[in-house]
Amino acid sequence: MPSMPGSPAAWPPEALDARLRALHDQPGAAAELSRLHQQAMAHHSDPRARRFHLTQAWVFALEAGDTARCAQLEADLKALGGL
Amino acid sequence: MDHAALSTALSQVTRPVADAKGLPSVLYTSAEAFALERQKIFTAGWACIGFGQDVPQPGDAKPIDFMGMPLLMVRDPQGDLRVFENVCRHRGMILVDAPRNFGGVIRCPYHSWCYSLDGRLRATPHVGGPGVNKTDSIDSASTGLREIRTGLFMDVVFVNVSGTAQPFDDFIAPLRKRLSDFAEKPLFAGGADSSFSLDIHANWKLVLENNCESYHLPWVHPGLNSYSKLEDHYCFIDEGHSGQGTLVYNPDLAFPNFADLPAKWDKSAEYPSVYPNVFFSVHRDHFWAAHLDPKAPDHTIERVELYYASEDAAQADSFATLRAKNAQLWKEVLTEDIQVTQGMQQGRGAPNFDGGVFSPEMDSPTHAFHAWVARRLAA
Repeated sequence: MPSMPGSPAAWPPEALDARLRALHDQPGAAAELSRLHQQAMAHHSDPRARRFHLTQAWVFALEAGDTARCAQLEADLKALGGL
Repeated sequence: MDHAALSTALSQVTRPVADAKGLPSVLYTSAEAFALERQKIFTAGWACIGFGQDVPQPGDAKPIDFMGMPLLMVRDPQGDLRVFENVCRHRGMILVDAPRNFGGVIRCPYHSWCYSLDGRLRATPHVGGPGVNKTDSIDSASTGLREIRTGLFMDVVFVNVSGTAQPFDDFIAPLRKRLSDFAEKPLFAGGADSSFSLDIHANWKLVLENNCESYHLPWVHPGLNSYSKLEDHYCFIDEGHSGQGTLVYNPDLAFPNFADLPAKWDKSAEYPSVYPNVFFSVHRDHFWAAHLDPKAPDHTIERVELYYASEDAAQADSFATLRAKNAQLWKEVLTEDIQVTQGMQQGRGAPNFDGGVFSPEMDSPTHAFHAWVARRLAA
């Protein structure tokens, strides 16, 4: 699938969403899915929406086995009342 | 199934061998009897489900259909082999549908509940509402994967699903004693060229029974007659296993021997059938085990894995031709058996077949297995 230029942080929400859908159920995509959801969180100010994407980022980090990233995301979730 | 008739038939099986009948045909043909065996033999006791080599690396996981029970064999990060029920504790979804390696958690494909490789429930995303990942009503500590009691002997994996059978060390002790010259020695799996499976349209018991005795060798395996004659074989019966051995093992192979073997293994080999569903084949220079996977009353998958005494013998290119020759030899022998196991399966359709009779001299190991099955089913 075509990739967007630049850092995902700069991608518009539509591009992030397209990339997330393209990676759905793809083997080995957990680490990237985690990063993309964390970027998607930045597009939201509503705490519920932010917690949603943070949760998704956490689950995919767990799947990827990235323990350092998991610890940071769990701390962020606790701060937002998600854990 | 007529349970009164079955009870009567089972009581005839447990008589002394000269007066005994074989197991009744219904135990080879009926779905109800298959379900009874699943409960009283395969769930209540120890049974083989595969090999440690199926999950060689930490994080490896292999789903197993054990008589309709979904299990998951896992190599945890510490290198220990564990077996779990392969279902999410949330909605009972199958967790893993194909062998793979997990670098992190096992994530359920339904609602993404996540489990560590030691079975702990690690995450319950959105369980308390969107973005809220905990809820008071679900206790993570008691909602991990259901672990199954597991035992490993010579790389053969046994499980006790009920959790109520005797300790594994007690179960395996008689076999460990018989094979004590080999049991603690390093084994090296031969890999793809030392592995094969046979699809047999016969009941699992018939495959094991056939391995119990040497009586059929001159008739079914004429090729063996040239170097391993009927009169060179002997029988043995022990708790939980029975079988046959030969006193003239002398193959045209040049594998290194297992270290420090007593002299008796220079020419001997033994073939214990371990109840209910695995048989071993032990020689001074190689070992194999055959796992019988019962799929239906009249369908069994027999999977054979060969092992050697050194890494070179098991994996080096210099031994590849010899390994292939050895595996092919055993595959030919075990394929020759299929005609009789399938023939006996067909024979169980005869309305007046009464289970058959046993020769005390030649069939005692087979009768020992029948009597073991009868006692398990009657319990």
